[in-house]
Amino acid sequence: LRIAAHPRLYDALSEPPMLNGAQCAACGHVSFPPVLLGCEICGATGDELAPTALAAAGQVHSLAEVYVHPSAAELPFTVAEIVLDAGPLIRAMLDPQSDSVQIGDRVVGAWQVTGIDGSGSAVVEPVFVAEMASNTAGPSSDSPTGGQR
Amino acid sequence: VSATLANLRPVWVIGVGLHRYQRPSPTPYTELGVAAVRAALADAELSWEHVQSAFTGSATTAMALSRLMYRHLGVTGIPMVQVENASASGSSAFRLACIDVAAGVSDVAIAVGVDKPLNLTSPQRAAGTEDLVGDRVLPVTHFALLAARYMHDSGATAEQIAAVAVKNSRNAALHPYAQRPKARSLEEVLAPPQISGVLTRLQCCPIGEGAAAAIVASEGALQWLGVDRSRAIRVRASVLRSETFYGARNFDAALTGETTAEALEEAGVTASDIDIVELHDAFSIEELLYVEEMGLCKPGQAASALQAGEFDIGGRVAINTSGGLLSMGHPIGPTGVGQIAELTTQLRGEAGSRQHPGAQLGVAHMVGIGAVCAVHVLGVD
Repeated sequence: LRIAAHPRLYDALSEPPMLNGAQCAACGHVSFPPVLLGCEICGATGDELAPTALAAAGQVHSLAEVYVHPSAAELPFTVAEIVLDAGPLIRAMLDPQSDSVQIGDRVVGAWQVTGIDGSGSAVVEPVFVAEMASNTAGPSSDSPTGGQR
Repeated sequence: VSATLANLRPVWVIGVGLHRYQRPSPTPYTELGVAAVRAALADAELSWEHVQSAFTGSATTAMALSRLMYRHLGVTGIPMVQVENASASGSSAFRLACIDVAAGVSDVAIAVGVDKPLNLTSPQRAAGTEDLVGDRVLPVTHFALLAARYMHDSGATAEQIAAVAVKNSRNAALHPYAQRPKARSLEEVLAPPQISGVLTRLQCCPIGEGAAAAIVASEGALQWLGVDRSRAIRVRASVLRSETFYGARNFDAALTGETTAEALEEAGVTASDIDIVELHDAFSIEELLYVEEMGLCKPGQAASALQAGEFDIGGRVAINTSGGLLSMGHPIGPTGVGQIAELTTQLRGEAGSRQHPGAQLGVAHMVGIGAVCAVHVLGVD
């Protein structure tokens, strides 16, 4: 069993990973993280805003490798900006083994285990890997990032 | 019908003052602020009794800090209020002081920026927002992401981005109130530690403490106070905007473009009229993005224009003559008011060794987390 590190943001049981977005019926805007209090474009509220599952797939808009951070457990790590196929520009972690990913590349989500909870379940978050790598030579089941694939 | 400064009463900057920007120290904020206010009063040749309203830009010190500071200047009972708008707090306080005078509510108002980094808060935490990266993306990484995309789009190199910090350190070496008053070579700027992406330590602004003050006055006040008109600088435009939706386009840059365009229109000038600019270079890459968005050079050309010396003191348009946030420092509340102090000093022709020759029109620009953007246009009348 997988447990989401951030249950509001994604469904840990989905395979491949799906993100919890929201869509506005009034203006069509898709948001991630999900905005349900009021549409950030048109202000619509209530039933106009509905949760919608978004594929964790898109194109890399930018990348930054972080070398210094006051509280990170492991350094360096790489943050990616990704334009999801569903529209939103998001920020997410790049898989540590995907260091060949460049701006403009297609990437998809993969589960990364970030810890084990009290009941022995894996706590996961989605990280992004090159699309080809995920289809053909994705992380194996004994790799640090691919244990739940 | 909405009003702008252009169709309200004319507003003039008649006095500016600073307390040095510096590393956090045990000095109370009251001492920092009072020093800047006294300097501005002396510059304007006024006394505190002449000031009819006070706007205090502050974001990181404490609530209700105005009166504990202003009481050391004597009791007058004037209206005073704190103005918090993240990095644009000082700019927003200056805007409110200008509007107060322009609207005829007061004839002499003061904007003061003062801060010490005692209480840094997170609006995202208070809002309960989450995202996939959490606190792994600090501001430096936000801007490292921008830098990578800019390099991808424009072909600029890491060295060309670092050159912003080289130029601004050279300017700050001529500024007696700068937090980093040392001119740095490209090698020094590029030296480790590398923090995030291409950004090294010296491409990130220091957050410290300090104070800045600017006194604004009406035409009538100029006359009855006997202010030296040759040293009065006209506030030609004040615009404050907030982020809208820009898709994958960077919001700080897009917001800067919108806000600057509106301010230039309000002032009745174009980008080619601008002689000097103080802009929000909290990270080196920002200066390149913003000069392009402001229309000071063509898209993708900022790095080569910088390299050609176009943004130097004495160049085509001098950017961050004070040293900018990178070298003058970024104590948050004071920063936007300090920009007004620098523009005023330059437009008066009183900047000494860092004077940009022939400065007639200046622009001050700040962005603040949220995001908001404030742009002011000042000119010799």
